[in-house]
Amino acid sequence: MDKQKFQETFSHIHASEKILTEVLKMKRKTNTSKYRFLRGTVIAACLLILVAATILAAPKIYRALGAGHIVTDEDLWQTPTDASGNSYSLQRHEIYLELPIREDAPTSVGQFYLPQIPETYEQYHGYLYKDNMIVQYRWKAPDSYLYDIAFEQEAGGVVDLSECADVVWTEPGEDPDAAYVTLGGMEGYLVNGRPVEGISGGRVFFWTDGDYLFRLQAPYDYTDAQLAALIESVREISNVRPYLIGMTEAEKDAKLP
Amino acid sequence: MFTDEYFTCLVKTYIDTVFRIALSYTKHPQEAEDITQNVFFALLREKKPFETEAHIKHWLIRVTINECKKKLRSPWRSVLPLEDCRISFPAQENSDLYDAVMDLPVKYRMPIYLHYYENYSTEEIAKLLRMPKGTVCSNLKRGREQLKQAVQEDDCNG
Repeated sequence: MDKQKFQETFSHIHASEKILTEVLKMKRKTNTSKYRFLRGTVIAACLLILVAATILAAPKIYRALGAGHIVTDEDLWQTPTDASGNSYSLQRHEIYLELPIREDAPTSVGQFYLPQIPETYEQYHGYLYKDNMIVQYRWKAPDSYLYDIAFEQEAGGVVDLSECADVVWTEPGEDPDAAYVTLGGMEGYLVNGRPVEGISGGRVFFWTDGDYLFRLQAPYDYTDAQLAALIESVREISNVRPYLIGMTEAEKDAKLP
Repeated sequence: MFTDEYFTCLVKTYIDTVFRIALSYTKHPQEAEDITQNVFFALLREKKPFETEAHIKHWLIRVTINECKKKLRSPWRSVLPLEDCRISFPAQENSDLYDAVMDLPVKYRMPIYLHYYENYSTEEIAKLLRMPKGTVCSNLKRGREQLKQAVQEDDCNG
């Protein structure tokens, strides 16, 4: 193998002037890299401060936008206890409903009134979905039937309830038996609710008064008439004021929408 | 780490070496240029000090080979036929030799190039290519045989 020949051949191969210029330019560009790093760090720090400030100010902003019944931490002022002495804490954005007792409610329904302090804490559930007010209360009456009341308040927009993973929900239309009906003077969808956590589904009725979405679940063997009576008994729900446990009447009134 | 002047001097000294190695590996002038640029950028960013200039050259060749391997493995790599990558030579026999070398598989091509052009010993080539010395020797031998065959065929056809 002729080394000389080899060297003669390959010595003709040169990098182009263009690449030489590009490579030499690199040194000048990288001299500014430390300033670029500093600038990047400052920008990142400013962004972090901005995000933190937004997060801290969010509740105030939300209130300022007129979100209505939002209850924030500063509104919650005590930790109630139940009859057994178990204490439980109120979650952010929880609202309790105080429903009127109807004397003529079907006896099998039991009392539809949610006491201020639930009889059995573990049978009480409330769900919070982000900053929206989708609240579902599940209350097990002494007659072992399960009653769910859920309502949602729109805060400046439509909430996609299908995203509420924690809400026991049966979409009207998912169930082939779902029907748009009028019950108890209210129009809504009547579906067969699905079982949740070992509790039978029962019949579920959804309705809205334009501001609130309601969901009522009753035992499977309820007839339309019984369901209608049940719904009638809670028709005044739209007139129900959200209350906070332990508040005085004046304080409650101050929370009126 | 390098002053502007020193870096410029290094680039002018070794840019052809890096480019030739990259071209030998990839057979693609544009890719060879990309690799050349990447290698010198890596040199700029290298924080460890070099002991001697021979160390720098060794480092450059090593990084070039690594960059070439990375490039060859890349799924985005475009492949040009060798005819489109032709380098022009003043003499036809140079061109024939270059083509014959480029036709070799890369495992023969690189030891041949490093030995005959860069004057590296088999031991140094073994360190650069990270393979046993014996493998380098046998690859050199087989590369030479293939080249001889290719050159002789050209002679017969020419």
